[in-house]
Amino acid sequence: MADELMQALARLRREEHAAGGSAEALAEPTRERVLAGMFERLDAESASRHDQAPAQVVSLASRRWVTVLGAVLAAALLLVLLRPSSDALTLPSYTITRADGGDAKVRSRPAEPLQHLQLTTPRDAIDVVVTPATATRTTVDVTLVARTPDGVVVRSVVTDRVEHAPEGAIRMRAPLDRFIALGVGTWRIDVVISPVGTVIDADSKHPWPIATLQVTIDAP
Amino acid sequence: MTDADDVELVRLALARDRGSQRRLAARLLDAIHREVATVTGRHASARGRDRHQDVIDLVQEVLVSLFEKDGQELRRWDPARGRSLESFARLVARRRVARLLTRFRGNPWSLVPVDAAGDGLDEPEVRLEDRADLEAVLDGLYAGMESRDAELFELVFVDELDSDEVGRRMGMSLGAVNAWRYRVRKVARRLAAEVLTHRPSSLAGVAGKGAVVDGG
Repeated sequence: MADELMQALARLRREEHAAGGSAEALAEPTRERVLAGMFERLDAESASRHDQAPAQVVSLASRRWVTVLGAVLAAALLLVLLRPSSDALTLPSYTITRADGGDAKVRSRPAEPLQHLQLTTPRDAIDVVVTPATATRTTVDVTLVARTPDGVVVRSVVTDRVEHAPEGAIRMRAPLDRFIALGVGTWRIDVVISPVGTVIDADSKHPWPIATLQVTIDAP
Repeated sequence: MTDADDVELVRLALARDRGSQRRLAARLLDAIHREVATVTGRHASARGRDRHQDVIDLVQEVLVSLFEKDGQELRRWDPARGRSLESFARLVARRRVARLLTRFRGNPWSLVPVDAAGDGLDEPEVRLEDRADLEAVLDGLYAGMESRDAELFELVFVDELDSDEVGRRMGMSLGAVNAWRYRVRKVARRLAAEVLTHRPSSLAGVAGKGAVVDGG
């Protein structure tokens, strides 16, 4: 019979359907990890698309600056400081409790409120932890707003790319360019922690806690 | 959850509403996991390896494939065809997994014209007596399927609906359904022949028209 191969394949497929019902459910932490990873990849895809079109917040002069910097090697510096907002409504202040990555020789100045990291490229791994002054279970969004001294502004919502601890600490642990696409040079990055659903515009004033990162990248 | 609820959830998710995307992904996660775990299970057991992480990675891969490129894959779900969103997601998962598991080179579907029709018997029938061979052919079929092919395969061969009903659900003429039926048979036979050709102790494959296939 000409359809016997197809019948056998269909029978096998029906067996797959039947077997599917017996698979064990994923544990909740695993489910959360899968969903977080999914959004991370979708955000990366979206960022990649946006990278192909200049962001509206980048001025003409700034675009030229970014282009020039793409070919230049420069010294690198990662400076981390906390600027707790005095008028944060429902969130505690946050402090940087870890800032690792890049060149270990210059990354830390523990005597200062600022910490330093040196990255060779935007693909260097970073490990930055921002911890609330008091434990909080408020679901937050995390937005990065990066600026250069001459006014280039890049914004990135990284809520689903960071790790959220139950007590509210936020960890950014991945290559820098997984969080935000930056070129060579020095960047000042506001890490804005805000209640979930809050829209953080690049230029708007808001009451939410901010940790500021200054990033200087050596090479593209 | 009704199809109407799902339609609304999909609409919001495709409009890039983050919360809806998350709810939708969470809702489909178990169905996708079941499909991935089932299909990868036999491959992993054959290789004696721990597949847990592979399964997790594949589940995430399938979820991403639904939403990426502006939800191109997800937009193909049409409840009017009688397939639930969950079932649709499982079909997407089946194809995705097959593409990663298949041992065939190239896409056999591309070798058979879309409008292939006729009696379907110009390719020699092959005998598959090894279940693993049959699984390889099924993987090869799914690996090359477009979304529509996968839906047709389920309706025509798995659910065994008659061509009229399949045509009604899929918006195809009776002739188009039959042409597709012949085409998939030709693809399957080619895959089966290739499986036999590459076996260490080939059964010589060609068994003439009407040969026996043992899928048990």
